[in-house]
Order: sequence, then structure tokens, then C-alpha cells
Amino acid sequence: MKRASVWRWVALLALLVVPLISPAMAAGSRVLVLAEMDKAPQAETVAALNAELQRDGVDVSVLAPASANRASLTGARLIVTVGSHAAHTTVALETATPVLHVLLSRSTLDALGERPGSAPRSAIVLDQPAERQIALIRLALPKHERIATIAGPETPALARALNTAATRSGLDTRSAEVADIPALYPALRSVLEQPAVLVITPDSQVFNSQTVHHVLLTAFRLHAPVLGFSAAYVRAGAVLGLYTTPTQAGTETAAVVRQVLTGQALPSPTHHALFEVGVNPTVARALGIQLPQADALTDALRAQEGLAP
Amino acid sequence: MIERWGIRARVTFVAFVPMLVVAALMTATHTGLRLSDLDQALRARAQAHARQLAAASEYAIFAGDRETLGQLADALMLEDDVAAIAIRGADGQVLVRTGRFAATLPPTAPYPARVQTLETPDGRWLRIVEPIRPSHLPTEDVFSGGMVPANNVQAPLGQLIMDMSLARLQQRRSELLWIAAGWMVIVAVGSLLLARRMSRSVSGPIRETAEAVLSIGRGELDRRVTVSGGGSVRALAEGVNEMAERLQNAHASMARRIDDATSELRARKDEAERANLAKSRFLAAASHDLRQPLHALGLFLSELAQQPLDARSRQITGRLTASTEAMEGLLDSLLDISRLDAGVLAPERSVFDMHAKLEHIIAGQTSAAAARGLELRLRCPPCWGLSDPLLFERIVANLVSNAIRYTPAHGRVLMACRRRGERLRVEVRDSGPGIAVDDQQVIFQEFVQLGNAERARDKGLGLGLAIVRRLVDLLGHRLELRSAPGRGSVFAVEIPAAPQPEPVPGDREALALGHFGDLQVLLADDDALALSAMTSLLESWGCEVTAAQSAGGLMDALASGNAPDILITDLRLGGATDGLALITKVRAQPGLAGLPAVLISGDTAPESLARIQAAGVQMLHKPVRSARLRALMHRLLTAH
Repeated sequence: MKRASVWRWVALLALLVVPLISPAMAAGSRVLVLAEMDKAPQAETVAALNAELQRDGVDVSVLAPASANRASLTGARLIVTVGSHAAHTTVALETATPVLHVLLSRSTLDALGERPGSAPRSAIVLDQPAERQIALIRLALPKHERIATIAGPETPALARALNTAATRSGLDTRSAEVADIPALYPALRSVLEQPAVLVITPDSQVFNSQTVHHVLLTAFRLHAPVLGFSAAYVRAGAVLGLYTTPTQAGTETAAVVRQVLTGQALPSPTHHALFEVGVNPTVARALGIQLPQADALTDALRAQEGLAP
Repeated sequence: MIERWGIRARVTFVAFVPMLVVAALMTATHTGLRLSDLDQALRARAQAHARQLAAASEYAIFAGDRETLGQLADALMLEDDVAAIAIRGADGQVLVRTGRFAATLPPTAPYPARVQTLETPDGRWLRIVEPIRPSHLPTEDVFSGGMVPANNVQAPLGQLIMDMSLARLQQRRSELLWIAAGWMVIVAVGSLLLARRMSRSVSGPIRETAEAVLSIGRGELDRRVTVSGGGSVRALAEGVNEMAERLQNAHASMARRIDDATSELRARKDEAERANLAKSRFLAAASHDLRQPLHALGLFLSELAQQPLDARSRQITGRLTASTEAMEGLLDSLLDISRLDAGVLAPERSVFDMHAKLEHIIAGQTSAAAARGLELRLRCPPCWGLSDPLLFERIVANLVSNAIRYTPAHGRVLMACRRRGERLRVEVRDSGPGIAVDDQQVIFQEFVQLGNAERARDKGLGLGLAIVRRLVDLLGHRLELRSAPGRGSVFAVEIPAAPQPEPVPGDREALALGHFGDLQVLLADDDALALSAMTSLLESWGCEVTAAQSAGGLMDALASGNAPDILITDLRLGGATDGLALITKVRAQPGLAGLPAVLISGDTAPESLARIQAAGVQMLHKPVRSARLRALMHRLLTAH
């Protein structure tokens, strides 16, 4: 059975169960979740969210963005959008209900623009903070003293933040900006001319499923370890991965929802506090790099950020 | 046309054509499949090459690595049949181009949507256009959130153009076709040989059987068919052999029977010939031995008749003379039959006066007719016939004599002659009892006499019609008999008519039957009685006779006597010298060459008659009638 359909069943079960076990928060505590349940990460996130909120008896409704309208959005205390599509839908429907966007990138969030009126809005972006990434590089690849970044049309700010953080950590930086895919290879050659750790920025115009293979191959040929932003990158050949899993995203979202339902205001947009480190030991071995275990790196990184391991 | 084919052609056809058809179908199918396989294999190989190169080129195109692309293309160029390769980037720019492209193929679009396969019309080139697509790696891109446009995913990185030369395929194709054609020829020739061998094995025995049957039909009954094979062919061969065996047996049996029958026939023929010879000898001997005394008797009677006798004696003498003449007539008839059977009678045809001849015959028969109280008449216009006059006279005289003999008293016998075209028809009609149809053939046999069961000798011997039949056959005339019981009989003889000849003076010189005054006659006869009788007769005619019983005696008498006027001798003289030799001897005497000579003989043996005829001597048969002797002597002496 496919993973997506498993999550779909989990979500459905959650929808049936939640109203029965949370009578205390029944009135005026309804949370509407807009999510594409046929997408595995979103379904996984919703499941984690539900699992957290079940305990509090929060009334959670899940609605597909495609079937959402202005009426269906009214009456909820909070709207949680999962994924960029749901985020764009709430913007388009111009609802006055407070909205929390999760499972989207910083650049997507920025692209949503300002909300009309004074309706509160917040987000938890998927982008890992530049400092965390640099810290991971310092932890896992202490011998590498340079990072290379390529900024696409969506991520110049992110690249700049990375460079800034790297410089602050005492790392050299090489960076390039590309407008389209054909310019990617020359840019890669350029930034990896000298030994460096390639940090992939989540710019779908440049780094997508078509190019990831080539980017990883090019970096490999140039003996450059890659830090990817998802588990898929690690599986495809990135030496390191730093990412927040959908379950972690759901858990964190549940915490924010809980705060809002208890009367607190929406916090300002933020990064995920929960994360995981992925390691591809095969590629690392091929590159002659000795890497600590992924769990060890995760724990060490969390420890640096003052979080419980 | 097939209906007229022989067994061999049919068997060959039946065995050869299906095999050829099957071979053609199998060869065509196999070759077609093989060609199709070759074609598909080449296309599949070409597409596989293209796909592999496209996949391998993906990263090099991403990297813009022309060197790598060139190496990849060069590596592929080493493959069989790859003629040219070009790789274009997404923007249509040619990144690599190697080999020679087929000019006949149209240029391809810069961005082909899918794999294209093009082939030149002449079938020499194949072009594969393969888009180079990026491989898709699922990254669960939560960041993009599925917002990446689909067309971006499908957009090809570039395009691979590969030309394959089909020359090798065509060569292989033609090789296959030649091999197929070769196999076809081999199969055709092989199957034809096999079919012919089979047909020979089938038709051979039948042909041999047919030839054997033809040979047997030509009479080679010992021909046999070699029995081989089985079934109907064996049965046929065995049947033919059995048939030939039976034919041969039947033929041999028939030949044996024919041989037996032939030898039996030959034996019977020999027996018959011996019997006939014996009969002839008997007749000859009998007539000779009978003639001798009869001859003497006749001569004595002739002499007696010249003596002065009283009435009673003269009547007895007349009766004796009549009886003797009847006996002489019977003997003459026997002699005639003998001579005719001996085949020594050579007809001497001449033109004669029919009327005179018939009158002469009538004259000879008038007394007999009168004695029986019959009316005998002649009706004949003046006409001339062509035949042997003497033999013809014998024929008609026999018929008239017969008619007189069998016609009852007061009946009529009519002799008539009339002209019928180129022939003369002489009829002898009588008012007698007639002859039944059954008897009309029988009466021509010897010694057959109708109405004479008692065989009264005054009715003859029954040889008359037998002689008539033989004479008619000898002369080549036609004899006809029309008769019915109670309505009389008509015997008719037809002879060729002839124009009247020029009158010959002296032809019918009438010889005076006068006295042979002082005629010197040499007479020889070994029989004393006959010699005596003849001497008396001749002397009664006024002749001077010098007689002897042997040739030697006569020669002696001749030497001492007068010159003879005529020689009369018996054929048998009881010594080494017979009558003929005596005549020769006498004629050899001086002054006697051409001496008239008369040979008298009772011998009717065919060889004797033939010898006498060959010598050209006048001959009288015993018993000699005095009148006949006298007439002959007259004729000889007159001619002399």
C-alpha cells in the first residue's frame, strides 16, 4: 500500500475521532486545516497535527484547497494551510480568520504578499536557518573551510544569509546567481572551482527533480560534498541533509495552534525548531570523508541550539 | 492435355508439384520471416543505440561537454551500420556531428516530441531522431509544492540524430534471397529427381508389362515380365505372365494339332493319290487287256460281215457286231475318262461349221433314235463356232446319246443352236422324265446312272456326263442344266461364236471309202490273235500285208519285202523295241522317211499316252473299229 493512502486513512480516522473526544473545546475552538491529503508529506503533517490536537479535544476540520470557498472558511478559530497550494487558496479567498501557513518555503511565503486588512497571519517555513546549516557543516565537515552557494531567482536572500552566516563562522564563501537551468552547470563549475561544500538552496527554478541528478553528479565529480534540504537529496547522493520531517512539522504546528486556541496571538513567522540530519555514508566514503552518525550529528546540533537531544 | 499424359508424367506431376509448392511456401515464409527479423533487429538495434546514447548524453549536454559527447558519438560510430551521429542541444545548436548523413533524408525539426524513425525511399538509410530527456529523480519536493510546470518536466535537453546505413541489411537480404533461391533450385531439382525415380519405379513395371504385352501380341510368346513391386503392379505382371504361359501352351497345343492334322491330311492325300494311281493303273490294265480280245473280235466280225451269209447268220452277225460296238463304246468312254484324268488331252481350237457339225452328230444318232421310236430333230441356223471340233462333237454326241437313252418311246429329242451375243448356245432338249434338283450335280459323277439301278449295260456305263463335264472344263465352255422331274431336261453348252472363215479348198475333201488296191501294209502286233484278225481285215480291204509279231521280225520282213505304203503297229511288241521305237526305226530306213504310221494301243497309262503324243504319231485305241482305221488310213495316205 502506498504511503500516501496510508496517511489519507489516518487523517480520515482523526477527523472522525476528534469531535467525540474533545467536547470541552467544542464551541469556538474549531480549527480548519487546508491540505492536499493525496500528497504524502502533507498527509503526514496533518496526521501529526491531528495526533497532537486530539489530546486537547480541538475540533479539527480538514478541507482540500480545491473545494474550499469563502463560506467554508468562516466560523473557524484558526485556519492552518499545509503546503503552498493551500496557502495561495486562503490568500485568494481573502478570509478574515487568522491563518497559519506551514510546510512552505520562505520564498513562497514571501511571494504570497501582504494580506488585505488586518487579519493576522503567521507561518512556520521549511527553510532551515542559515546558522544551523553552517553549524552542521562545521560539525560534520570540519576540514572544509568553504561553502558554495548558487542562488536562483527565488533565493538570493537565502544565499546571502548563508554567506553571512558562513563568514561569521570563519568559512570562505563562493556564490553565484543563475536565472535558468542552462546557466547552472557553468555556475557549479565556477563556485566549485576550489574545494567547497555545496549548499543547495530550495529554489525550484534551479534545483528541482530534473536537475538534482546533474547537480549532485557535477559536485561529486568536483569532489564537493553537498548539503541538501531534504531526505530525498540525501538518498540521491548528497552527503548531508538538514530538514524538518512532516511529522515534526505537524507537531510544531500543533503547539502553535494550541497557543492560539488558548488565546495567545499568532507568533511571527519562524523556522522549524525540530529538525533532522541525514547522512549518505556511501557517497561520503567515495569522497573520502569520514562522517559521524546522523543521530549523533542531530543531537550535537540540537545541543548547540540548546534543545533537548 | 493432362488426360493424354502417361503414367510417368502423372506420377512425376503428383510427386513434384506439391513438393515444389511446399518448398516455395516454406522458403518464402522462412525468408520473409528472416528478412523481417533482420529488419526489426536492425531497427531495434538502432533505437537501442539511440536510446543508450541519448541517456549517456544527458549529463554531457547538461554540462555542455562537447568532448564527452564527441567521445560517446565516436564510440557509437564503431558499431556496425552506424553512419552518422549528430547531437543538438535544447536550443537547436549542433553540439556534435560526426560521419556522413544521408542527404536524401529531410532535416529534422529542432525539437522532436517523440522518437522518429525515417527511411529513405531507396531503403539505403535509416534515421533515428531521439529526444534527449532529463532523467527524473523524485525528490518529494515539499518546497516546490508541485508548482513546477509540467512542461518543464517534459522539455528535452536535446536531440540525437543517428543515421544508420542499410547497405549491410540489403546485402544480407540479397544473400538471403539468393540462398532461398538456391535452396528452391536444390529442392526443385531434388524433388524432380525423386519424382522421376518414383515415377520410374511406378511406371517402369507397367511400361515393361506393356512392352511385354506388345511383344506377346507380335508372337513372342516366350516373353515374360519381371515380377517386382507389390499390389496391382505385381498382380498385373503375374497375370500377364500367366496369360502368356497359357497362350504359349494353347499355341503349342494348336501347332501340335495342326501338325497332326497336316500329317494326317498328307497321309490321306498320299493315300488318295496312291488310290487314284492304282485306279488309273487298273483302268489302263483293264482296258488294255479287254481291248486285245475285243480288238480281235471286232476285226473278225468285220471280216465275217464281208462273207456271203444266210439271213439267219447275217442277223446273228449283226447282233454280234452291235454288242461288240456297244462294248467298244463302253471301253472308249473308260479310255476317254482315263485320258482326261491324265491331262494329256490338248484341245486344238479351230473355227468350224456348227450346222454341219450338228448334222453330222444327228446323222450318227438317227438310227439309235429310230430304234427307240424317238423323234430326233435339229434346229440350227448357219453359224460358226470356235472350239476343238472333235471334243465338241464328243460333248454334244454324249448329250444326245444320253437324251436318246433316257427318253421313253415316242418322245422327242431336239437339238438346237442359237446365237446369244458373242456366244453360241447349243441345247439338247428331251421330253424324258427330268432330273430332280438333288440329282443335278450327282449325274456328272462317274458311274452314276439315274433310273438304272439294275445297271443294264445297254444304258451305258454312266460315264457320258462325267466325260462331258471334264471336256467342258477342259475347253473352258459353259455347261448348263435345266430340268425338273416329269418336265424333261435341257442340257446347254455355250461356246464362243466365230465369223465365217475363208473357204479352204480340199478341207472337206471326201475320201472315197474305196478299195485299198495293192496297198503295202507293214503290220506288227505281239498278240497272235489280234495280228491274225488285223491281217485278215486288211487283206479283205485289198491290202498286201507284211505282218510280224515282233519288231525284229518286221524289220526282217521289211528288208526282204516290197516298199511299204503304211506302217501299222501295236505299241507293245513283247520285246525291248516297242511300237514307237519301231516306227522310228522303219522311218530311218532309206526312202521310208515320213512313212505314214498308225500306232494301235490298248494302253491308257498317262505316261504312255503323253509319250505317244510327244512323238506326234497317229494312234488308235484298241479295240479299233474297222471304219475308224479305214478312215485314218485314208487320211494319212491322202495327206502323204
